[in-house]
Amino acid sequence: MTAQLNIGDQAPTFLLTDQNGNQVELEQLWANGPTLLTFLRHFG
Amino acid sequence: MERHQAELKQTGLQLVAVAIGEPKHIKRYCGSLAPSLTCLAQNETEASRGYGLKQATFDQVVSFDVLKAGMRALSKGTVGGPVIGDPRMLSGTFIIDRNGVVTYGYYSRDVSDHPSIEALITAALQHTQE
Repeated sequence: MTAQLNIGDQAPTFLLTDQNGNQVELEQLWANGPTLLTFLRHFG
Repeated sequence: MERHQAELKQTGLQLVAVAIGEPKHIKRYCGSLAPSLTCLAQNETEASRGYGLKQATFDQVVSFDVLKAGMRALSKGTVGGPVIGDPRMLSGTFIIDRNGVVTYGYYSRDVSDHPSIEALITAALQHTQE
């Protein structure tokens, strides 16, 4: 189990999939600017 | 978050939502329910767990607070669609700067808990004031 992140920690990056099936690396997003990243329990 | 997207976007943040699913599930959610968000899917809970998120215990799924939040959502006309993903996974919200550093983190106490919009805007404004 990964520990909770604290302020100042490096955010882990993951390769995820967008709605068109393209692979998106999280670090590519925040490289473009500050990002609010929210993990939902589910789409719906 | 979709309800407050205009206020949040004014702070300059990109808004990204991650959940378990496939592209077709994202299309339904982001296409109609949350069109202003960038939605990304994970196959399992690997990214959620990488951010330290956990599965809810029974008490974090079934409690008076959760019931109250559900009734409040229903009274506002929020009706959930089919559940795709892991409804027991607790949610979390993070603000990450350009260097990949976490500047804000919120771990939900139960399945109905979310950070306040005021706290998010306050945290977001720190970036615009730097």
